[in-house]
Amino acid sequence: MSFLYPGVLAALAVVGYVVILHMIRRPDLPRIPFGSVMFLRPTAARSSGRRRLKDLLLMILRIAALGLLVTGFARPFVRSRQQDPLSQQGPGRSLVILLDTSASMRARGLWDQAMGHARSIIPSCEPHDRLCLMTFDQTPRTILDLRQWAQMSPQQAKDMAIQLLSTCRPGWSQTRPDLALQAALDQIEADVADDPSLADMVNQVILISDMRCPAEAAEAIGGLDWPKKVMLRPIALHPNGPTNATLELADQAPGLWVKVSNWSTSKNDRFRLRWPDLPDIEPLEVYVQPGGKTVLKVATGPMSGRLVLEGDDHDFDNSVFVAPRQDRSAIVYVGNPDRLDPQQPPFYLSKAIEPSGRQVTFTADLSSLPAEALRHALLVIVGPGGYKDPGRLSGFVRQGGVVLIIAADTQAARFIMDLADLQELPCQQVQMDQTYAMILKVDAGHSILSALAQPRYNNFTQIHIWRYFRFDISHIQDCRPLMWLDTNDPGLFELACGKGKVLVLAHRWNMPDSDLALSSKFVPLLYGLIEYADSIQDPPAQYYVGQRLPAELGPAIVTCPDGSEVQLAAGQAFTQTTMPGLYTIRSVGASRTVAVNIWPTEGLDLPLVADQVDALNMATSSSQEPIFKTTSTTGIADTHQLEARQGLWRWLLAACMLVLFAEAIWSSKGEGKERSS
Amino acid sequence: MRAGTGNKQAFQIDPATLMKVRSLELRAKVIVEGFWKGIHRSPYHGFSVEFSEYRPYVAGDDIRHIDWRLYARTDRFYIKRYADETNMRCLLVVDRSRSMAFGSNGYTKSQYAGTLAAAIAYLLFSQGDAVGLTTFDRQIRAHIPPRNRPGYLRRLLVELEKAPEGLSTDLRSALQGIWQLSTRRQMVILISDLMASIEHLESDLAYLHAAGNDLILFHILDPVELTLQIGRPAILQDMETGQRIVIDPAIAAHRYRRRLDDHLGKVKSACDSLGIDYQLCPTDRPLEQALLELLQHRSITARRTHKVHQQARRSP
Repeated sequence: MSFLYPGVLAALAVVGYVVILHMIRRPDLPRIPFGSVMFLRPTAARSSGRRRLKDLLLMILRIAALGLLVTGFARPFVRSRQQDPLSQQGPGRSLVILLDTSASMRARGLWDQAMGHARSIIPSCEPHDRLCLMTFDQTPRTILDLRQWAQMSPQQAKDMAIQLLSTCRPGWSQTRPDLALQAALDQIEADVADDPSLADMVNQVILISDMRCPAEAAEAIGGLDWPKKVMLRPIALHPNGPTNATLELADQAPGLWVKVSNWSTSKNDRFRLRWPDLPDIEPLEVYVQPGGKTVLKVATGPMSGRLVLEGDDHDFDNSVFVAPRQDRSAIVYVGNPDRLDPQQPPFYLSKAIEPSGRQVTFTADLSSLPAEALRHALLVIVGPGGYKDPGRLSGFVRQGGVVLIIAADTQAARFIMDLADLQELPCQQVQMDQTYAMILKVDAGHSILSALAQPRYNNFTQIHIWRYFRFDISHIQDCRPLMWLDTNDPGLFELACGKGKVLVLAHRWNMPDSDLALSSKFVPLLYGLIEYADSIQDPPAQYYVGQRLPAELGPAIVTCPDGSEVQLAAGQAFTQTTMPGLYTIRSVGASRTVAVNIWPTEGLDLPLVADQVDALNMATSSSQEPIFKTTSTTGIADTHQLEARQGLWRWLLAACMLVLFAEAIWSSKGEGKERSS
Repeated sequence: MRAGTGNKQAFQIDPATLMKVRSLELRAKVIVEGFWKGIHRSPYHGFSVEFSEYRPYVAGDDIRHIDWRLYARTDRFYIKRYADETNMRCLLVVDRSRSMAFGSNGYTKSQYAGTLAAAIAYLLFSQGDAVGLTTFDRQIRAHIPPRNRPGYLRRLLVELEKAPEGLSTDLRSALQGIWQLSTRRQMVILISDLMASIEHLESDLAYLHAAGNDLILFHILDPVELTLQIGRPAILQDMETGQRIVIDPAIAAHRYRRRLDDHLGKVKSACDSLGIDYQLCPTDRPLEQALLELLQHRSITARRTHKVHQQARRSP
């Protein structure tokens, strides 16, 4: 008989304690209150021969219960000759080693542990075994596949595997064990498909990882259709050092906010945030209790560079890179710039925007607008008199800008066509005689109008429209009507144009076209538009390792954090974000910097995937008789499987319960007799 | 319950049955009324046997005590002796230490002692005597001076119903305290288990006796305390000190009884030497017997006193 945890057997020493207790214990005497013991002297209670016999039996039962319990916890198993790897000739095993190379494996001591496990498995392969070595982070990579292994002699294959293993290094990507497990299954299936004689082989997947992965990966593992003939042996690694805090950018504006999460095992709750490249900025002390997290503002204005957290045991998740963000908050109005005339749109625009403190630039035509103003523009509104030179706005729109065109005359249609590259846009002025048009319905799904879609605000009957332009948008693709008039004509519609949007309002918001500007809907509509423009133009605050950067319109050069440069063709996305840092993208006439950080899930407090992997493991270990008949039991994994299959500990615990039951009955029987006597 | 006439076994209630009555006043009433019924042919007339006595006038008697109405009927001078002889003062001294909380019959020594004291108080109150109460453990805990007022009996009963709480017993302190509190001679009835040092018991009782007090000692003990019949080995825990002793009764009973007898002998010897009436009361003994013995004692004492007075008067 062998034991999975023989060290537990040391607890059998407690048996001696039981014997000593039985030797020194007094008989179980009742305690009686007595008036006074002043006339009494202690006398030792005599125990009868029957009682002594009963005590001996009780002691034996208790020792037996303790022994069974300890033996059960030592997890015994029986290794028969049939299961001895040296005495059998079988078809061998197909082993797939999945080695985690994600960023979290950079935690102190993890990589050495992983390499140690991998190096111990490879030499234990039998001559008939086949081994596949794979690494994985966000994507699985095959270092040595089963076919290559089989083509070499066993010793050559082992040497090759060890050599290839030594070239592996942890990267910066996210852990996706679900993809890796699927890739391992694919390897095994492909191998069997190539050579059907291998169908009888024992297949085993060994997952060496710290098991820190995103929730979706854990869910995906839970949903894996795991073949019953493939055994999974997870080896969970634990970093050296219990204290770790993770730093990540928090998406909260304005200013720069970060989130600091502290592991529940941490011994430290005080950390320091520091800008290593900006020594003039004082470090910021952070208090995060173990298992907690905090979000704090580290800068009020635009910042860029590397922010570092100090005070924990592991550095891999202690840095975030912050890219400089372009200030694009201004609003540009192109057209008649008279802000004092209530008959002109700027009158109401200026009054609506003023309280927000946003800058509004009024200009008569685009040609007089400086290029710098357009670069910082968030929203461009083209009103009456401004329908000239659409080419200047074309670049703005295609780069993600939002333009609102207020249709005031038929020139607006030409302007829209030029700006949005439309072949035709039939347009016709509609003058409502003796009556007016009203807004019939709005597209509540659009973010501009979502605020107005609530029942409290969706009454548009107070808005009267006496003159508007009827645009025929039925033939335009990528056109989304946002507001319909009761004449079945679009009152507001949106055209997609490059990365940006062109919105067309079919009438002016002021008299004599309509009284929209006088209604309570005007200001929410305008601010909804600004927020919409903000959401479109504002690029993501950060990217994560492995994510692709959006393609540039023209050719571009990307400078990586390590100084290397990558040429990109027009429209080609950059996908080689293999390390965290600041990536600079230079295209024609423009340059921008984006930050790439490691995935926050790499610094997760608790490994999410352990339960799912265990579930797979249990599912495969309990039902497969043939696996064990041909399994080489030299490895630790096999002893685990053997013990789990035999499950002797359950019988031992059941026997322990029976003995305890007998002990209780025997003990209470004696007590009853004594009590009755 | 047994009923009879004219002897000690006349009317007795099993204490275990009696103690099932929760009200202490009712218990006292049952005992005393049953007791009176049982002794209606008895020659004993309670504490006030001389209450109706007239004696012939002799020279030297105070003429204010002459019953002139009787003189008118009989043409003889008689002295009426009601004042001194009938209104008696009695102080019940009851032990309230925790050792009194022991009981093996379903009730404790304290309950037994309380019932006995209540019965005596009820009996005396019904005769118009003044009754007081003093409780003690290691010191005097409560002192209610003897009075005979309406409602005074209830006050005594309330005090008697309290549970014993004293963690030790100091007879010396209690008896000296009573001696200090006593302003007039009275009958002192001490009810205790005497589970304490009796080294100075004789001298302390002598103080009280010398002060003119008439002393009666009821020694309350549980039957188990008298015999140590606890069946099998056990850990006995002292109710006052908390001390635990492992006892095998088969071994320890003999020695225990010897030591207890020695203790009882010393107590009785002290009482006898002082002329104090000593009554050992196991708690399974009917309470009426204690009352009967009390009356016997009072009768003997009264006769003795009367004889002494007569001799004193006859002497020139």
